[in-house]
Amino acid sequence: MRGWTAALVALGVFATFPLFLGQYWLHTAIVGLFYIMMASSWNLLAGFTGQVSFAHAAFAGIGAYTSGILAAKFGLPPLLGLVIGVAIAALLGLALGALCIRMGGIYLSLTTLGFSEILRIIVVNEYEFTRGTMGLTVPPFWGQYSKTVSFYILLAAVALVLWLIHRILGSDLGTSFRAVQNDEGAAASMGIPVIRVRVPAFVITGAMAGLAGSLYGHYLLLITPHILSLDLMFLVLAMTVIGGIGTFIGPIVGALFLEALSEYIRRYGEFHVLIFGLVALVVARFAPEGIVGLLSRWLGARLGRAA
Amino acid sequence: MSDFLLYLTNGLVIGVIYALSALGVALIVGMMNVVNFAHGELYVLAGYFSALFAQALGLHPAIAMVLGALSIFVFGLVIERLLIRPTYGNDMYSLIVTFILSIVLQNAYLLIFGPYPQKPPNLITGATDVFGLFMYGNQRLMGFVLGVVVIAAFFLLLKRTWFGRVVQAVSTDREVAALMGVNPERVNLLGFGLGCALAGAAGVILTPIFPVTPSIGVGVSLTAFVVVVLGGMGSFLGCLVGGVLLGVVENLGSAYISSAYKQLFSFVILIVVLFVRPAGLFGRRQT
Amino acid sequence: MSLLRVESLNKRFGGLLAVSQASFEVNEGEIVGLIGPNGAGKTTLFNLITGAITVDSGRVTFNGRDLKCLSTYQICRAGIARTFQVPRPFAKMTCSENVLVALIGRNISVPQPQRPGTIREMLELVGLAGKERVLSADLNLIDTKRLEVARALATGPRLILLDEVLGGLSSMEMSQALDLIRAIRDRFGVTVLWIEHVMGAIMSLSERVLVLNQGRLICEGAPAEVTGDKRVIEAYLGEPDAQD
Repeated sequence: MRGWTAALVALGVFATFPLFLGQYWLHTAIVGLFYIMMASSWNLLAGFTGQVSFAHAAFAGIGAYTSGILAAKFGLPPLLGLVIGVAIAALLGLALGALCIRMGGIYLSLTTLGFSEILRIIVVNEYEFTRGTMGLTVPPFWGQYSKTVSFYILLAAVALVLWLIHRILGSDLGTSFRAVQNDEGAAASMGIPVIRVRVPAFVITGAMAGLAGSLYGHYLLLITPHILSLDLMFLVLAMTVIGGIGTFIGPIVGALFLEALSEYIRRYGEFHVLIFGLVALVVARFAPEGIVGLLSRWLGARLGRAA
Repeated sequence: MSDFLLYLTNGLVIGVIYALSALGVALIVGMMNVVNFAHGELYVLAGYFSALFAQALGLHPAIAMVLGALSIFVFGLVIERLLIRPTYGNDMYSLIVTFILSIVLQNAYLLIFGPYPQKPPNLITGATDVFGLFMYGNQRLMGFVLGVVVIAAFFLLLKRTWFGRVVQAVSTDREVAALMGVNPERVNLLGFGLGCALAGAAGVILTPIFPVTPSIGVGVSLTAFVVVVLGGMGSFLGCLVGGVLLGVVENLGSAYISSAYKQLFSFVILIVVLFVRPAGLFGRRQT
Repeated sequence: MSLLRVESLNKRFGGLLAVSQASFEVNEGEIVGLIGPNGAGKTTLFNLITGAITVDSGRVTFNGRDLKCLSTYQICRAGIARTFQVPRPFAKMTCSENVLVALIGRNISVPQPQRPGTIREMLELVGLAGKERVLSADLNLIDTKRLEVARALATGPRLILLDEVLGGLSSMEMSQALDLIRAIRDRFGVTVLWIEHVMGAIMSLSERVLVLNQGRLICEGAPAEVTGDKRVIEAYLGEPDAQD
């Protein structure tokens, strides 16, 4: 119950942002929302089923380019384009998951990396459809372009995605995820069908990334191959790792924290990736539980001493 | 016909360097089950160092090359000690850590060396008439020779030295090797350093021909991974065959099919191999 | 009635023949012991039966059904549960959650209302009452072994394969463990196939004992017969670890 109250309060607080945040910070908040969806869904895949996929940004790109191309070239309403984009992302997630079934850690990650790069090369080269590195101009998601409207649309999507993740984690599938991640062999010996657990993870998280990408594209009004890049993938990974991989709020904290931080750093130059990388390295090496883990340990010690 | 032979030669030359680069990855994977995502960045760093030593310090290109490769060896030792060692046994973390490292290095290069291509000086200039069929750059021929020499040296190390025998033992069965009384920490340290040095060697050899920029590391890493998977994880012979094969296929493919999609070929090969025969050409089947 | 039938099972690892022409039966309701010197292939046999490793040749039939093409999770759902010699708890999950996985993994998952009760029952049975919310990574060795048994039993099996559950127990804990094994058969009707090194225990509780040496089944019979058998004594003579 406490969790729900906190969530509703947070949602309420976020809902007031457009009222007092200037255009610049509202933009930052919207980008933050995009990353919350990306990091949380990647966390579901990597943190809860142990499949470290580097194709996550690629799925966002699939969502973005699908609905973008359908809207820009074929005049399809973005809402429909979004649904199709998510569906295609889910299908490709199924294909990738099926491809990776028999593979363990290293092989799986390499396959997702290859998959991601293949997609990026295709997008860059198929200028006819995607306008390559020039970028594809797309219409806004809903009516007239407005940062405030975009903010609320993304906020709703974030709420949906987080709610879904929460439901999944609490369900039998979620428990199976965690069992498979802890020890695949032991889980199998207890009747858990490992394949039927790992593949849905790819489908669900791929669809979520597709949703995030599609909405983001229609917000930015310009889709470039950057959305499929390993750079973006890295940011998602860093946010999850620094926030706390394998926890529910870790990626949320990481995404907001790093997105806000990157804005401050950007005043001095484009250093934020380097700095995040160094921080992520330190965190991964010395504090694998991330900010959330450290905070809960610190709080636990505090409360323990008070008791 | 002479066009075909030209492409084939290009493929062979670059294939040998692919093989060299892949050996570095295979060594580390075989010994510690760690995939070094920063492999390409080490290749790039070697190129930068080689250029630096030759240009800034005025050293002879050959010396600059050797020093460049050696510095990567040392750098590899540092990385192993600080970052890699604690992740042994945890596949997920070693993947994440080396991936982050590669991004950090890429961005550091941008900051330190700038975005413009850097190129170490050629060891040799001019071109040679190959069998009267076409003229071929001497630096490329030299690259081929150097690649073969380093690979041969590596195999000599493997078969004839104590360290090489340990590497073979550890790659085959880690637990048995531990029982043999080998100090795993020191062996891992040296092994990782050597793996990085091989990436560095590939770097110093190839960068006079293909200049470095901060972002080409990813392509180098991925190519090396494809070769390792194609040849069979843990098989050094596989790296040789896979490397040359990939080099030839890529060059012929990009010449006759499409050059924009050149990089695509290697990824498609990667996925096909992982799907159809994950053990690769020479790899052992995982139980 | 024959529940598990193993026929001419063979498994080779490289140059080593780990299991060679193993054939035996386990009947429903029995408690059968499996003994043998270290490295005899006992755990390998368990791994072959549960599908953790593939059979080279031979056949395993369970309840009349050939287990050949089944994967590990399907074999579990068919009714064979096992514990691991070195316990493999789900470290980042609580004891309760560990048992929950077993309830989810069943052919027909245990319905939500019945779960808390079943989990509590399993944990109480093995002596982990009150430790529901403890992370399994925080348990001591004996408790992780208890959890192993609770999880295996929670899958609702007809046959349970226990792999050296008694190692390192005090005599009080051992007598509790023997009571538990007896209860598994008597109260839950689960057939037991049991690897053990603690001779006194396994001899006192098993109705029949199988002896494995270097991958081969060298003797089979009632405990008294087996302890006196010359081949068995010879197999163990070079074996300093055999207790009792």
